[in-house]
Amino acid sequence: MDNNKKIIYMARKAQLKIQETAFMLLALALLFAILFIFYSNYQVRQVYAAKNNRLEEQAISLLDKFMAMPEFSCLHGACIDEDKLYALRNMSAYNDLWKGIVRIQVVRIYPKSETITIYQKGKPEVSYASFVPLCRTLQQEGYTWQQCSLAKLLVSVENVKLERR
Amino acid sequence: MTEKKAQIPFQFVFAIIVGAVILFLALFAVSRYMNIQRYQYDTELAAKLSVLLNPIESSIASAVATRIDLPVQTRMQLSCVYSGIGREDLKIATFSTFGKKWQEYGATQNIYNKYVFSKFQEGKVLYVFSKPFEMPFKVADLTYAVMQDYCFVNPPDKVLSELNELNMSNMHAVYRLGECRKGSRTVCFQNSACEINVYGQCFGLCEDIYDYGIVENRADSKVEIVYYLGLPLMYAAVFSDSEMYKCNVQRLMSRLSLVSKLYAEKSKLLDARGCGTGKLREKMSVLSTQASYLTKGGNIQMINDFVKQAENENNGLVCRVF
Repeated sequence: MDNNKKIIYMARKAQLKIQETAFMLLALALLFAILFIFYSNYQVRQVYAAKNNRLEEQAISLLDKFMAMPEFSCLHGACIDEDKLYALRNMSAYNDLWKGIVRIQVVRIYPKSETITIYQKGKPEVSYASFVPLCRTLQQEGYTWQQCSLAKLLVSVENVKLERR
Repeated sequence: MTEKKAQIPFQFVFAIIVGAVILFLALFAVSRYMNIQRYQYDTELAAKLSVLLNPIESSIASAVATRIDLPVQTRMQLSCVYSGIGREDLKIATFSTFGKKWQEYGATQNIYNKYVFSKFQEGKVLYVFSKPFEMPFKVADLTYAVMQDYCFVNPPDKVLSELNELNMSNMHAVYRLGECRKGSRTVCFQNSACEINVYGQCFGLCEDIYDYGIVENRADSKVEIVYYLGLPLMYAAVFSDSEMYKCNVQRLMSRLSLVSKLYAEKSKLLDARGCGTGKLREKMSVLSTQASYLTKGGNIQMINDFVKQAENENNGLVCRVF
């Protein structure tokens, strides 16, 4: 009889110890899960930040590239051809070439103010600008010349944001 | 007399099982984490590389060369997709001393505004150079991305002077095939002794015999022949495989068709200002249509006459369009 009681007592003690260990493991798992959630959240933010950095770098490097592209470049020197811009803004076939960019604009500053939008898709959030000469070809009595004005080339990109659901 | 059996305590068994499970999970998590980190790293590297190629193109010089030192041994795979403007897909995989030496490629980086000619390659240094593609006006910049050594055997003067100007340490010009470094890809001119053979076919009114011709590629156990027009496309055929070359030429023809349309519109504007560009406008429209035909494939040399006609017309104008 005494022996039976002792066995029951030991079994209960063992159960208690298993429960203790199980709870401890559960708490540990929970702690790791919370840590993992915080860490993954941080990592996702880092990835979004890296993506935005790449978009910014791309927009800045494109400012320079656009000046040399045949769609923008003018006849002589580093300037933008105004005559091409008017044709370019009506050509939707170019949309694939502007992928990753939200808006391309050329804003004439001097002598008169004018905005020429080449491409727009979506809401621009970050814009990068570069001052450029905007030139057009003129002709009179057999003489041709480039008439230039001061303008700004604006390239806008969308900021990638972490969506909250 | 009761015999006491040697028993393993339950706690000990439980601790071993739980410990093993935790250890397994930890190792699994670390291995997954490392794979994801490598995937992220490879993806970022591809994105950075695509941005790095922008300033190489934007120069107004006739050719620009640079060298990109990669942080580790890298595999670079470029594939071309043609549909209108088309695109190139860049994928990168890096070497690692932990786990698998080469794991899967990182995420694909889509490149829409570049024409990069390259083969599948592996290395730590990427040599890049670019040249403008002109038909007769600039259509785009062609970029050549090369990791391997190339040996040009007895190249024509134009190629030789360009190689000397670019001063790239992976491009060598020699007089005889035997002088080429071991392991380098050999390029011959009007001679079939090399892995890549260039045959100039311009025997009429040309600046050079190599103004247009064919490039025969025997490097990958099968013989592939492609047509080229102008030195920039000759380099393109030498540094890329025929599939990538043909796809990029189709993309270039699509771009040429668009730029010609743009110049036709400009001609219309200038004509209204008394520039007399009406005839050029017609030539540009024809060039645009011809380029559009070539987007379906075919011999690029077929467009040469239309290019020359447009160039002659433009050269005779008081106010030049391009």
